[in-house]
Amino acid sequence: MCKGKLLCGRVKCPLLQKFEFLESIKIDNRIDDPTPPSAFVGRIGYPKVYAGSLVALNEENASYLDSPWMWEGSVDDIMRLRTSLVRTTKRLDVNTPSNPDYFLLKVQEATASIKPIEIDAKVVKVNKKLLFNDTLQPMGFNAIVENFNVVDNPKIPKEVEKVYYDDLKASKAVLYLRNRGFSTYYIQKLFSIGMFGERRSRKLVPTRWSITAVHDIIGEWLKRQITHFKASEKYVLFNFEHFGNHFEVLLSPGEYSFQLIEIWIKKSFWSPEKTWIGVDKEDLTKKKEYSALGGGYYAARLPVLEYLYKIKRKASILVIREIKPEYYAPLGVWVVEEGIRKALRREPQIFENYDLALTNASSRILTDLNAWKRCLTKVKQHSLSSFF
Amino acid sequence: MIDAIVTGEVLKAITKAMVALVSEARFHFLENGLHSRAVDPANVAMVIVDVPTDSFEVYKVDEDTTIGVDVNRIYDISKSIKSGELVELKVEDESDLKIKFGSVEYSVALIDPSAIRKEPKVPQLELPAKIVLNAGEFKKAISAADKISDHVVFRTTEDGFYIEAEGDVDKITFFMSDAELIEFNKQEARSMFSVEYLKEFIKVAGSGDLLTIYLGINYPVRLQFDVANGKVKVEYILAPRIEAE
Repeated sequence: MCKGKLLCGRVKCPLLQKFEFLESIKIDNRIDDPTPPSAFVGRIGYPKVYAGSLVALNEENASYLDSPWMWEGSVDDIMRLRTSLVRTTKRLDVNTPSNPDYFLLKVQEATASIKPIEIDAKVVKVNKKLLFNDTLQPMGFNAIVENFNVVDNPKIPKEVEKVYYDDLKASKAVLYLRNRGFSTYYIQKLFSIGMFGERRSRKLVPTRWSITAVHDIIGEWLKRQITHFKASEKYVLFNFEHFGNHFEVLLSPGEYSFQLIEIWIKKSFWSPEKTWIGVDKEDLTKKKEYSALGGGYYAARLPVLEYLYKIKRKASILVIREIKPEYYAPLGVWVVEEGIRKALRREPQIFENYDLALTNASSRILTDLNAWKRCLTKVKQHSLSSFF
Repeated sequence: MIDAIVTGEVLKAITKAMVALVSEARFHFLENGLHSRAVDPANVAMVIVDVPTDSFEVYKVDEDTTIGVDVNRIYDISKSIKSGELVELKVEDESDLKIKFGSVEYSVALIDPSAIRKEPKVPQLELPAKIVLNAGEFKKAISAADKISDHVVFRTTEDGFYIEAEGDVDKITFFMSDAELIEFNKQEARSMFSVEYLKEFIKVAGSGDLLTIYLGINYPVRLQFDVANGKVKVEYILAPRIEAE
């Protein structure tokens, strides 16, 4: 698969051409706009990376620009929405959070705020390059800034102050906030901008890594919790589709296991030549190697585990994700996370057996069942508690 | 108050057995010896360690006492003690464990036992096949299987004991006949297990140690190792992988 590496043989990525209209976006030499709040930590040049706040040039309803759970419409809509966010950054060593300078302290304050907050900064240089990939939400131009300041007093939840000042270990901090109702998106931002962990070892974490790290930490924890619940009794099937991504979620009775089948239909963005099918799976034991399906795997697993934790059941999980040509640009793994959350909020269909459920699911999948059925695995690790 | 002296080898065997599954555990110092058990976070395997009093050089325990220990720490310390060297383990108050050997004294903070994950009951399992063999042979089979697959099948027929692993293009079969096994009751059984776990378990055993396996059909297996010259009994119970119909 290409995933944007110009493997198609083209000289220029069609996406960049498509968004040439953005060239018209004007950035003054002074930023005086709100952040939703949102933050960005780059990956290029690690361990010296660009990091800072995202600022909304279109000030109306800034918080909507960083609320993926509210987004609807087309790929175009999201691209337009997100590219109106400018990254106001400075180049920082990833160890800066162990002894933060004024800039980083202000970025952290702004990011932890639960409401949009006004940023004031002087623009030194603008790099007119958009940022989009399979994991993170698209982002607009990069403006290198000086004299960055937060204009208002940020409102920061006391739970975040506790995590920050008590030096809670990063994974403990993630779970602490998760269990007090904070969204994965909010936790990912704080994780990325270096607000978790023991102070002397705090680090900036590139945004795309932080997204998967948070999905994984919470997912592994939920896995441990649900092993003690009773198994679901029927075959329960959910589905949902948005942004050219179709999801089928099948929960079967039995021990926990998770399988994701990803089907990129011919002519969808990453797979222009032929339909591509990938699979990855796990059972009770901790998933050690990074999934071959990338961050989407962890983003798919988390909402199903959240659902099972809520209804106090364990189950064997199958998720089928079919990507259609209308998903012509990658929008980030939130498409998976929110798509599956939305599927699980709908009324499910109930079946007596696995084959009936699978056949029903396949009726909404464009790719022939025989092409992907062979990917399904049936061997499963059992837990001791299922024997005594 | 606990005051016990053991050889470095025994302390190392105890902690090595536990770290295969957990990082913290409860140690019970009882009238008849030391006992500890735990299940891993995934609830797939259990470890049970027993050290009778006569495996200690000195064993003085005022009354049954339970302490919570960071087994990783103690395992690390035990690595720097020679096999035959004597180690004194001392708990005077509830706050720390003193480990003395040669001219070194470590003081390791104890963990409140109630903060450690609840211990499982030791299950009663009816397992038809019993196999006794040299643990060294078993180690070789598991290490070989690990190179090609993440799971193995343990299987017995009237003829003997098979360990089989299948990779994408290759296959390994380990077979010991009835005559080669130290003990075998000729019962048939078959179950599949994760190599990930087995390869942690085999670390505890040396090549001369004895291993007793109790095997069923799509059922948990019991692996009983006699290690440190028979002074420490380590048992692992591992849940199987099962193929759904």
